[in-house]
Amino acid sequence: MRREHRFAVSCLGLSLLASGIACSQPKLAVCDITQRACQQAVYYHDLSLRGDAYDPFDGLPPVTVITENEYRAQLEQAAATAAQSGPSPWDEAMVLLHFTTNNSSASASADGGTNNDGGTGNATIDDEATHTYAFYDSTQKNVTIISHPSQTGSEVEENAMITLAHELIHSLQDVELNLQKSDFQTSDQYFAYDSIIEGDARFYETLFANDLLDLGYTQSNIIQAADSALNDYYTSLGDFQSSMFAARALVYPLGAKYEATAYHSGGNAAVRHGYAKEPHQMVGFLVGPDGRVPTVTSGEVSPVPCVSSLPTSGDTTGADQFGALLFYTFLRGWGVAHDVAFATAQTWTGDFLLVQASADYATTAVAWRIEFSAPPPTVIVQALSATGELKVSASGQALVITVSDSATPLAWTADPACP
Amino acid sequence: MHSRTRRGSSGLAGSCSELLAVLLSLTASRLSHAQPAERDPQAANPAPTTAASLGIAPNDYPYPPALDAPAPAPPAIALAKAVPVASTRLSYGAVLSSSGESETGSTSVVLSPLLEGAYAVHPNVLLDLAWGFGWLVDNQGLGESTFRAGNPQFTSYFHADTGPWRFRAGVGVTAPLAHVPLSPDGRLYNFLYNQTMAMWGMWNLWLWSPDRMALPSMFRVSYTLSGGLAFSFEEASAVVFGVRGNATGTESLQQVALEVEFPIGQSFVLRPRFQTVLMPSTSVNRFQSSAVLRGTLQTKAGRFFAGLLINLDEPLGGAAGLERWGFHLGKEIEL
Repeated sequence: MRREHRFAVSCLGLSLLASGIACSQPKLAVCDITQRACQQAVYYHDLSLRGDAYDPFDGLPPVTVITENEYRAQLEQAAATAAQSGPSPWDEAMVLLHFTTNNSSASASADGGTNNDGGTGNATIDDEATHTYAFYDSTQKNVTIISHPSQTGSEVEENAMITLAHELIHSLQDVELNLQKSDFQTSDQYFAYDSIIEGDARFYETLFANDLLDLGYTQSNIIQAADSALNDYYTSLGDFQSSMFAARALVYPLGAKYEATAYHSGGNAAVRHGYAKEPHQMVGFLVGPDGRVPTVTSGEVSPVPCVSSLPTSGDTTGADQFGALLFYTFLRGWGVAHDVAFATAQTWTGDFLLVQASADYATTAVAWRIEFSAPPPTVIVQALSATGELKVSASGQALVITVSDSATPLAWTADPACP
Repeated sequence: MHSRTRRGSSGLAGSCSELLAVLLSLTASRLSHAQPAERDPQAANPAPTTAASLGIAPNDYPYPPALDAPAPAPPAIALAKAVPVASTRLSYGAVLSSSGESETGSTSVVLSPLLEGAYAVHPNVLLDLAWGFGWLVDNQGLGESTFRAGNPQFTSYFHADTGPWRFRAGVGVTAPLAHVPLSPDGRLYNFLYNQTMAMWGMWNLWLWSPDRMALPSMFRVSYTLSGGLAFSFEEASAVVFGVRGNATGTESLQQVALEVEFPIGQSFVLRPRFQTVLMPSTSVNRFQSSAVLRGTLQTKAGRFFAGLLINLDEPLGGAAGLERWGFHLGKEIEL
């Protein structure tokens, strides 16, 4: 009898000991992300930071490692495919508003693909091929790692790990959100959705970097860290190739700040609930250091002027709502200072942008009406009117901007028959 | 066959041959039940219930008992283990699992009730329905806590007891009611399901896996020594396939557990358990092991228990794991 007890206890003890040995894992250390063990360590650390448990069916996604040259070939193929698309009145409209330049217009579509480069030239492709460590493909549901054998050193490995941590957050999101959602009604909705996706990945990427590099962030000072990152973007906005690209870049730190604010108040539980209550307009993400969250409204505005001589339906016309973020980067692109541009964008209540073009795309006309909860500062009108390219009129709490590339003046009308 | 000497040796070969003999005798017994008119009374007469078969030492009771003598009353603890005669054909059980985590400014509690009902259609056959739910309550979402249904499982069990051996085998099917829509709420729902699976150490994870259904089969064998000390081995396999939402593919899952029952006093049993689950092929780590300590109290109202599960290795446990655990409280099915 005693012998049986000893046998049972021994079996149990051995089992527990074996498990204990199996579960002793090294702490997060700098490693090579092309190696499976490193990928696994990054993935588990992501799970731990996010406070999630573990989904046994949708865990670490398949990871492919390719060379720089293979990645460059993929980018060139994508650029060639994009170049085959026909002309769009939106390309010219974005150039007219200075959202893009002629050099970067190929990537100007506000709700375009996930490749947020500022252009498609060889220099851009080379830059991306050289500096991209990894990306997540939600259609293939896999992660691609670009190996850079010529880049060595712990700093490179650290940056690569931080990038992989970001991309693996996307794989976790892929069983929570629809990462392939495309039925957005407006560009503003698209940017808001992208903010929660990229902001979430950026926020946990920051926590990952904090653990890897001992940056000293805590739950109590995480908002200051997010604000600091945002300020870096605001300060260097002029370095971006276009206002459109700047907006696409800003969704990362703006979304991260949204999550940091939630995390500060109640950790991951608050982030989960904040995630579920994501703002559907970018104005909801424009939170300054004072913490004041702008009011999110219906976004509806009065009709915009139109050119009755241009088509009002078909492929050569279109309408959109650009939202507060694009309005902010638009103002910055026209030389308005950050403080004024940001404060004005926070008062955004709605906008409507109408693009019309002739059938041969020779003439494009753009009308954009933006409404605010308070009258916009006159310095904005002055800045936008400075070059004479834009016609700007302020009326109460609204701005109306018109521009065209027509050699002769167009007859603008407020005819409600226009779309 | 049930001599104390052979059981005392308790070697693996001895146990296996004993198990084989018992299985053969069970088969013979079932055949004789199926054809009562044709049975050979000499060959198919089932073995009488004896003190030895109940795990009672021969010194306590004469062996074999006199045919005209009244059956000896075995100790209560042995009766509860070896011959669980149900007084009713319907039985209910329930488990409330809970886990939680705290961060500055928030506390999240995950509650997961698993309700179970069984009906004995035959002394050896049970029809069982188990259905679990998940409820996430945290102070970030008061008034809008998250509630999700698990996958109900219908199982048909065959069980038999012979001497110190107890067997149970079953096959079942689940209905894919657990669901995660891809939406901003998806993270909350996934969190809830994943936490619930973690509280069980991934055991029977098909009860909680969203958008999938399963065809599980399970087997359990127990061996009770005199004094009530018992050893159990449990195994289950399931084919799990995606049927809703984004869930796709087919996976084969396996799980095994070893359990020891230490009787303490007349009505309390301490049950340490070690279990390992072989997870889907898509999982980073294929195995999730956990240790469980459960205390069971036999009362007139039923068998109640409380227990704690600790995940031992990655991904849910261990030094670099997620350190998930689960507290379990409930009443067991007694049929």
